[in-house]
Amino acid sequence: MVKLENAISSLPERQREVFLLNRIEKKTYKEIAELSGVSVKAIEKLIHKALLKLRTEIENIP
Amino acid sequence: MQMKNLDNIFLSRWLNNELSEDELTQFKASEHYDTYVNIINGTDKLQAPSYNLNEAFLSIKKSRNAKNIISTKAPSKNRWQLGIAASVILLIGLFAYINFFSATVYSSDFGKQVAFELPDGSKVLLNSKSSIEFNKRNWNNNRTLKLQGEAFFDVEKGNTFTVKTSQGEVSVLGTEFNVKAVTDLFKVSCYEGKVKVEDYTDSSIRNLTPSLGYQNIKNHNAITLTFDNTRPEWMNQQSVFKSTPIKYVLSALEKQYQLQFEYQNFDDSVLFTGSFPNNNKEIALKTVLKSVNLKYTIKGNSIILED
Repeated sequence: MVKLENAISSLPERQREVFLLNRIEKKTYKEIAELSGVSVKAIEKLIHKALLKLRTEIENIP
Repeated sequence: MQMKNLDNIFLSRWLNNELSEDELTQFKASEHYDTYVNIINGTDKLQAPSYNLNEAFLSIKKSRNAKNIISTKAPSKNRWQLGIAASVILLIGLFAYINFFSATVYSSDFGKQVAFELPDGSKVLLNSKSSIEFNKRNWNNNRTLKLQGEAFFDVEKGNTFTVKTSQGEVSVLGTEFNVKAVTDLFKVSCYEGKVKVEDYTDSSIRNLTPSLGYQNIKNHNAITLTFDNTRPEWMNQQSVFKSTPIKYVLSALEKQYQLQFEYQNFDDSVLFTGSFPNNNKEIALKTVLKSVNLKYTIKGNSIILED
C-alpha cells in the first residue's frame, strides 16, 4: 500500500491528477475532460500513461 | 509479451470496461495484468487523500485558463506554502473549536483576589482560593456560572443571572451580591437590587433585598442576616463572621494565609462572631484564636492548637 502511494506520488502532475480524479473522485473521462478543457482522448492517454508508469514503478521496486 | 493489437489508450479503455473480448483475453494473458489489477484495487481502497484532490482541482482550474494545456504544469514551488496555509487554518479552527465549546475558568490562589469581567460586562471579584466556571458561548442568553468558594458580583441588567454552587443557586436580574459556598456553608448577601436564593439542602426559596443576607451552615438553623456595609468585608481586607462555627473561620484563615491547622481535642463547633484582617497573618491568628481562648504554636505553615 505504501509502495503504491509512493508510486502515485511519483507520477507526473497531470497524470496523477487525472488518475486520482477518475479512481477516487469517481469522475468519468468525459467529466475530467470538461473540467480541464481538453478532449476525452487526451484524458484516456493520460490515464493510460499513468497506469504504465505506476506498473513500472511498482515492478522496479523490490 | 508484446501486445501488438492493443493501442496506446487500452489501459484507459480497460478501466472503463471498453475492451473487446479478444482484447481483454489478450490483456489478461499479459505478464503485467496482475500488477495492474493490484494497482487499481489498491488505489480504490485509498481514502480520498484530500490534499491531492484539492491540488488537482486547483491546477486543473489554472490550466483551464492557460492556452497550452498539456504542457502546463502547476507551479510546484508554491506547494509548501499551501501546506503551511492549510496547517495554520487547521490550527485556528482547532483553537476556535476548543475555545467555543470548553468552559472558561477563573481561579484565585491562597490569599489572592482575582477580578474579571464577564462577556456582558458584569463584574466579578473572586476571594482567595475560589473558582468560577462559565461558558462564553451564548453567554448573553444563558448567564449561568458555577462557583466554588466566595465571590462578589456586580451584574449588568439583562437576562436572569444565575450563580450555581454545590449547595444552592442564586439568581438575579441585575444587582450586586456576594455568594460564599464552601463545604457545608452557604452564604449570600444582597447589596443592590433583588436576589433570589434557592437552597438545595432544604429546597427553600428566599428573596433578598439590599442589606439582607442568608446563611445556612450544616447542622445549624438557616438564618437571615442584616448588615449595613455596602461591600463584602473581604473586599476591604477583612473577613467577618456572624455566629459561625469556628472550624469555618479556621478554614477561612487557611485559605487566606495558606495555613494548615492541626488539632485533636478541640470543639470546632464553637460559634465565632468577629473579624480578622486579610493582610496581617499574626494579628489575624491572634484575633481569632485569643477570642476562643486557644493557645497555639506556629511551625512553618502549620498551626498546632493546644487544648
